[in-house]
Amino acid sequence: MFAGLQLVEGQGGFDWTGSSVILFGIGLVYALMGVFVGIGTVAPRLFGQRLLNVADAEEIVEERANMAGSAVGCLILGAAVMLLAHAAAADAAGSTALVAPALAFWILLAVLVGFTALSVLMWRGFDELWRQLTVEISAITGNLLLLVAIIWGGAAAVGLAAGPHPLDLVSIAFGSLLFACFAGAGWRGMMAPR
Amino acid sequence: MENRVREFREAAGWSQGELARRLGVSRQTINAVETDKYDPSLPLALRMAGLFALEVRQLFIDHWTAKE
Repeated sequence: MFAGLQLVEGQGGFDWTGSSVILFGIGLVYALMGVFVGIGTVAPRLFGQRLLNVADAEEIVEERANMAGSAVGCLILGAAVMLLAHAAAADAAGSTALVAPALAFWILLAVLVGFTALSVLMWRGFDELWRQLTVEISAITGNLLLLVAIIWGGAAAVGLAAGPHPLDLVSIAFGSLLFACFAGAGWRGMMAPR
Repeated sequence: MENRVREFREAAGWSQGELARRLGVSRQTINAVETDKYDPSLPLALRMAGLFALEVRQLFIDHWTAKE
């Protein structure tokens, strides 16, 4: 990941604080998930069976539309998150980023709107297990956000901890969703090797 | 909830994919039901039982007993 940071940093001096590094790392996880699912979806027999937790390649072919949508969504979302972290780190150091920080934010916002629209479209094709899983993931994410916001906000308010950096709020949101996806899938036995 | 879906599916000679196709759900759903990770909705349980020509209680085993 640090090699990636150096790559996007180039020759300029960037201020990679803990907050921007964590956000970049979370974006990288999303992007890598998109890449792996995408490769598995494009070549189910060659790579998909080994990369993804499925019974056989035919299962990927059956779920190709949903998996391809998820792969593209994760890749674009991860890239937008990394772009925001990169732009914020550059801005903090007074360097020039790939895009201006404000533009990085608007890109992330546009991607979020697209991601939401994609989720609605995919919801229509979900069967009852996937709909239940989506509801559970949303609940886990919401509860994690509540917990972190109340504890960190409360502790910061009384001087027991430093307040969150704005990037931390973005990291908490995307990190909670990421954790919830793995926790929800694990709870339903989808992480067990098949 | 315990169930005998795998037993009856295998007796019918169907793969998980074949049963999923007949019920109009994903393979993951069949796998999750068979491994007791997911209790299907009442409509899906009724369809499953109907497909195997069984009563729901023959396919899904509930150990609950009414309190006196």
